[in-house]
Amino acid sequence: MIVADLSADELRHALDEPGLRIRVGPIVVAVRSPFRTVVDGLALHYAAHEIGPPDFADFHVSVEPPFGLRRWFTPQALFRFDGSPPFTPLPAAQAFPLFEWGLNWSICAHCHQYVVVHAAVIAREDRAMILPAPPGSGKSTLCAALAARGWRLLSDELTLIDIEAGVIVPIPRPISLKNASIATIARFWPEAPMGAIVPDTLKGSVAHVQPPAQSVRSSAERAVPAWIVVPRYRPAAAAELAPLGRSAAFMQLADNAFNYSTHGRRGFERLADVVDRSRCFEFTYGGALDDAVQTFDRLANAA
Amino acid sequence: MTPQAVAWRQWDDDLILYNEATGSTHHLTSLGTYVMLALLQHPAGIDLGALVRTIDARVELAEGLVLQDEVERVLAGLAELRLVVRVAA
Repeated sequence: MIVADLSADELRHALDEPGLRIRVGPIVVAVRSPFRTVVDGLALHYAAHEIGPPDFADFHVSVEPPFGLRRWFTPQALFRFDGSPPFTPLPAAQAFPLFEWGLNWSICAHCHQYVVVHAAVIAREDRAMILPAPPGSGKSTLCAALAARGWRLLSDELTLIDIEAGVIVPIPRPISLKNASIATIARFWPEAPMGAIVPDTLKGSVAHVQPPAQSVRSSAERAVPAWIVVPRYRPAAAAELAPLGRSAAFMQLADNAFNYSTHGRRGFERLADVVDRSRCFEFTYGGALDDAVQTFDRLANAA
Repeated sequence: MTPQAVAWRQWDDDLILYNEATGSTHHLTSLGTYVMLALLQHPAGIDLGALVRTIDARVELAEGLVLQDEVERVLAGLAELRLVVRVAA
């Protein structure tokens, strides 16, 4: 059974206590929320995700109004993980992005069976392309464009590298777009299943794009590292792919890993193995997504 | 000098080191790579003269630079990072 099998009423009721269990890649998340924006966000963005077992969840999270009088004057939303709030509340209008950010935090803080890298990751069949980069590099925009043209989405934000096997574990979730990239993707992919634009967040305006259903259905199919591509957005720059030294690629992975230090030497060895197995590039682009997709397609077809 | 407990990978002329004592990761290039690789090949230690002779054939220095001075400068940096330690002969 998948989330889309639930009617609007069933979904709303399922988000009451004890929460809706959603299988998100390798984890099961129990979610509770009374916010309409969260109900709508889950209905759209998690439509193809499986509903998990009723008696188990890895994480229990909620997005609910905080206690206290303030909730009546300026409606707010508070994310809780196992009952405790890791963040301060945000305006209630940001409830769905808060759920996404909270889930990111939950994974980074608790999923130490993986090296978790701040990187988009897409795949052709079982060959994964990792795009490590700090915010503002255009990785989510690229990721959305490539997903629109048939690449398998493993994640637009968190690359999970199995610490034992060294393979990439898919965790397809909504693609998070910010500011100018929202209009860029709306032009490039007019039929993109995009949710509401939420303005005035700490990251500016944000909107999410539903992950392709086929990518969600393929969540159990792990991928092997094949390419590391470091994207750099430069306004008006032509699309250009240039070789990147493996040592520089390694440092990109390590610098963007959330829990590299937690794993110590094993984390080093695992990331180094990923680099050894990958062809490494730097990709500069100025927003011409057709050129970018062609470049990535050529790269994949050449292998 | 002797190398401290490290994991490492060499790619081209670069060396990436993980220092288990500090939990730090370091990216060495050119002379730093050659010096550290020579030390890693002599885990029991190597004296400065032998170290310089080991890497002499592999390094082209800019005019006016003296290899031993440069190696000593690199060793001081590596010692500061706790990647090597000076031991008595």
